[in-house]
Amino acid sequence: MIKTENLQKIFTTEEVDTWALRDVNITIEEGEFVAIMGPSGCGKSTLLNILGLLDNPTGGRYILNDMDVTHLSESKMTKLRKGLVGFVFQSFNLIDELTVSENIELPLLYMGISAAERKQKVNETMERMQITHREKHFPQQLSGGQQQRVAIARAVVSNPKFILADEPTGNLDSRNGEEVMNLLSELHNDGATILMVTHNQHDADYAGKIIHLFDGQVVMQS
Amino acid sequence: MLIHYLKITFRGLLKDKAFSAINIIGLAIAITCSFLFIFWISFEQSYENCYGNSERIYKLIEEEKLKDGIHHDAYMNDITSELKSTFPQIEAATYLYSEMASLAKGSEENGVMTNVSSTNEDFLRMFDFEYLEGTPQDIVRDKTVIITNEAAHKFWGDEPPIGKKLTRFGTVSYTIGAVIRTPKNTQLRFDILQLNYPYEKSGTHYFMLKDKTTMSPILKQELSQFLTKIKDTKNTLVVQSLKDVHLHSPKDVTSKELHGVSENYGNYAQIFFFRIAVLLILFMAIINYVNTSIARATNRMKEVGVRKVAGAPRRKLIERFLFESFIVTAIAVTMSMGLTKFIFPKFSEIMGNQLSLDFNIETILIAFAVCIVVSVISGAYAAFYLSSFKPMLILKGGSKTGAKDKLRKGLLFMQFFISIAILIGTVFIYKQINTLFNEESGMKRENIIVLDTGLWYQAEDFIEIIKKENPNIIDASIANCPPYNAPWSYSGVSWEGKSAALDEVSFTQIFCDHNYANTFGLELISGEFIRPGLPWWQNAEDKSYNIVINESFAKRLNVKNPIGMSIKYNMGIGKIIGVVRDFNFKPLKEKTAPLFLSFNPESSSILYVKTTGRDMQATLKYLLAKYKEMKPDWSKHPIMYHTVEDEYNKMYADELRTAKVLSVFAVISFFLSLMGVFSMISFIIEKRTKEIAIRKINGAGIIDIIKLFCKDILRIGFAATIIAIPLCYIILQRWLEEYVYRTSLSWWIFLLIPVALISVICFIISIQIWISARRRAVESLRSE
Repeated sequence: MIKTENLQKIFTTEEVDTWALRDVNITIEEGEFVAIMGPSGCGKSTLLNILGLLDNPTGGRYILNDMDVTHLSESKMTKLRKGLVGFVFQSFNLIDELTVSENIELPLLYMGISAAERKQKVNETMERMQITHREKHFPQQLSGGQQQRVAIARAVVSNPKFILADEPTGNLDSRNGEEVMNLLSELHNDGATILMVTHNQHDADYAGKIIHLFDGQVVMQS
Repeated sequence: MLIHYLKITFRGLLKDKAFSAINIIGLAIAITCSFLFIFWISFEQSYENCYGNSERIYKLIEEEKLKDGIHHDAYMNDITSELKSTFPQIEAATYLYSEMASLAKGSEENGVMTNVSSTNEDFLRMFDFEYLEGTPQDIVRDKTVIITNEAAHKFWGDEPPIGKKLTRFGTVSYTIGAVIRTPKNTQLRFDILQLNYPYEKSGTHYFMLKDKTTMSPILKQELSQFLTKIKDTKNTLVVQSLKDVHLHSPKDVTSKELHGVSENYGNYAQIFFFRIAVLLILFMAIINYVNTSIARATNRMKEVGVRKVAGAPRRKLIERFLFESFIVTAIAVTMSMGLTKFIFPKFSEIMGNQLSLDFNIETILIAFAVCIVVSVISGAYAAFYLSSFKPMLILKGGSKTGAKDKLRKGLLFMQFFISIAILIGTVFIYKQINTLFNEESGMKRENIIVLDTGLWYQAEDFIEIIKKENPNIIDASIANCPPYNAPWSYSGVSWEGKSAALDEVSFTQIFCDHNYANTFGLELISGEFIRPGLPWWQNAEDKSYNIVINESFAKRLNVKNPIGMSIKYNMGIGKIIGVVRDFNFKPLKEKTAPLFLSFNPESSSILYVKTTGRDMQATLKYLLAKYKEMKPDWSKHPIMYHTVEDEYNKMYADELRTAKVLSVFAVISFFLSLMGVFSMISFIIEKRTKEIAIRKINGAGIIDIIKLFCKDILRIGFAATIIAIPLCYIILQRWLEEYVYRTSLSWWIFLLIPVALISVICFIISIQIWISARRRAVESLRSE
């Protein structure tokens, strides 16, 4: 499903070039749960952003579902992301002015789905995530765990092909973190392909495959 | 989707109440100003559009070229038949003669001052009034008169006026044959209109071209020279389109009042000026909006990032933010419509009209158009800017706002510049008005009551009695006009040895009595003033034609002592008996010119009563009571009265109006500047909370932090000042060139205003920073 060939990413400033990724070759099949691990600054999030079509690599190739998406423009990436990728962030990134149900509904607004159908999907997802009772609350009224649950609900409401999670338990205590990881496991068991960035070994243990990065390079795949 | 946008917009507005209030109130105030002027300007520019034939109608103005300048007057002597017979292009020609007369419903009834106008039948063909009762044919056939609905209401209330009569002097009778509704947007004003009055066939001339005929340059030229062909004159005719009369008439036409009838001309320069001022105010409000939007961009970035990650294309984000801008503007427009409706009557009064504002389809469409335009202009930048953020950059915590600091500072510079310019303009306009009102004019005009009594043969007795009886009355005089505004001038004055070049100079004439000099404080510098005890009636054999001249006239005579010289003027040949010091007998935009005063009581119908200034109301009451006592038929000619200050204010109504409106603009622009700075500084403080905390930890006091933030404002303020001051100086200097008597452009005022503005703003910033900097440093860092 996902394949990279000698993927490179260089961040260029006025004075210095920073190699964030260097010759990264990975393959992820449909239905896998993959964790990307490594110390801070090793390029994990950069790799995730490229795989999630939020950024373009500087070199190499990125093949997604047999399509070369290496040099797509931002508008094309946006179009492709719709319904394909769901994102979960460390800091949840919920919109404060929207309620729980409205936050979850967000990806569906841009997919041309009717209001009735959107409502049905949102209700189903909220039930699945067990947050129906918080439907009309705003993010600032929820705990960290509940916010992340909403974020996951938003990521899965459009039934994306794969879910990208960037340090999903980073801002949570151990109990909530456990809950979130269990949720991701359940989604994986239901057939979702999950790509998770973490520096937490405990979280990485939920994954079926771990890719270790160090200084922008894959040093180990287990 | 719209409901989604609506929800998030309203929630966002409620979340940032302070910023939302700043935006909405600022826009509402600016849009209210725009509405007020849009409606007023469109009314001013709509004059004479009420007539179906207005495109084909022209007014005639007589132009006299003299050495001291070009003089204009509405052409008066009847040439309507000659126009039609000479020019086949002319379909109709008419005149309108207006005067204020006392009309009563019966011989025993009190008179009401009414504008009685005379014209010919062509007038009814040319100007298609709305007839509420009767028809033009009725008027022609029955030799009756037309009355306006307002005048009819004054006399008979709601009773139908057709067939009723009004009398003048108890002898002349008018029978009402038709009632019309006069449009508000016309220079043609009358209460009663009669046709073919045999004793008055002169008046302001208008003519109408035939259908599908245009005013070609050749026709214009022929009309221009027409007078020289039919009369012994060098004067020419200026052909003025009817639609230009209200706003583009020459100054010497607009400043005249004929037979007690004043015409309410507009001022095109004022419209132009106010348009610019309103656009500037609107611009400042939009700047505030854009500044606030940029300031809030940091808070919006997350939303933009999340939406983009969720699959929103850029145009959807642009749509989202433009919609938000539209909602904010729509709220502001709704508020401003309410404000406009409330303020408009007062505003209209200040602007010299009596308009009411009705919200009809047209006004709603204007409101909608303003809403769209303002929301696009104010929201476009934020929409395009915010939607350009890359999602990855946002979600990593990056920001593009740093790069837009220059734009925000640029906008703040514009606000400072506009505020400083408007404030400087306001101060100097008021200063100039002060000069006009207080300039040493060679006369004294304080505490003088003006009574328009009409020709009154017992006026001298009245003056004697009131001076004796009332200690508050110093003196009184009858005259045809006051010394500060003498409208009558002509060039037909001659004397032995007069140079031909002086044929091209106009001489102003005032008719007055022997009390005039004392009443107005005119200084006699040689000879004597007009003598008392002169006979009043026109044909008296011993009628005196002596004249008193001013210094400027004496200079023209070019003799050592002009006393005793004979002068030929319109009354005949008179002798110079005295010279007065020059005084300003024209509005202070014009230089002093030659003038002479003579006694002609039958042309003098205004009484000027000089008082001590104490108990003015009581003195006026006394005068009116005495007038009624001494003039038994007073009710037939009700007295009109006011003070010299009222007249003076009317002369400079334009300047006073401009100053009033400008001072409101100054307050608004100052207020908007404060709002803009407040929102910008609030954002900067929020953004630099961590920096403030770190500085405090390292020993900075609150004063040090205040200085840090004020530095930027001072730089921007200084830059705006050094550009605003020379620009304002140049514009003000040009404007003052219109006036002979000018205020000085004091350098310290130019400096004081920006210093005061910047000081106030720095003070407000200091308060904001003091409140914020008092927060404990560790709290700031913790929340970071």
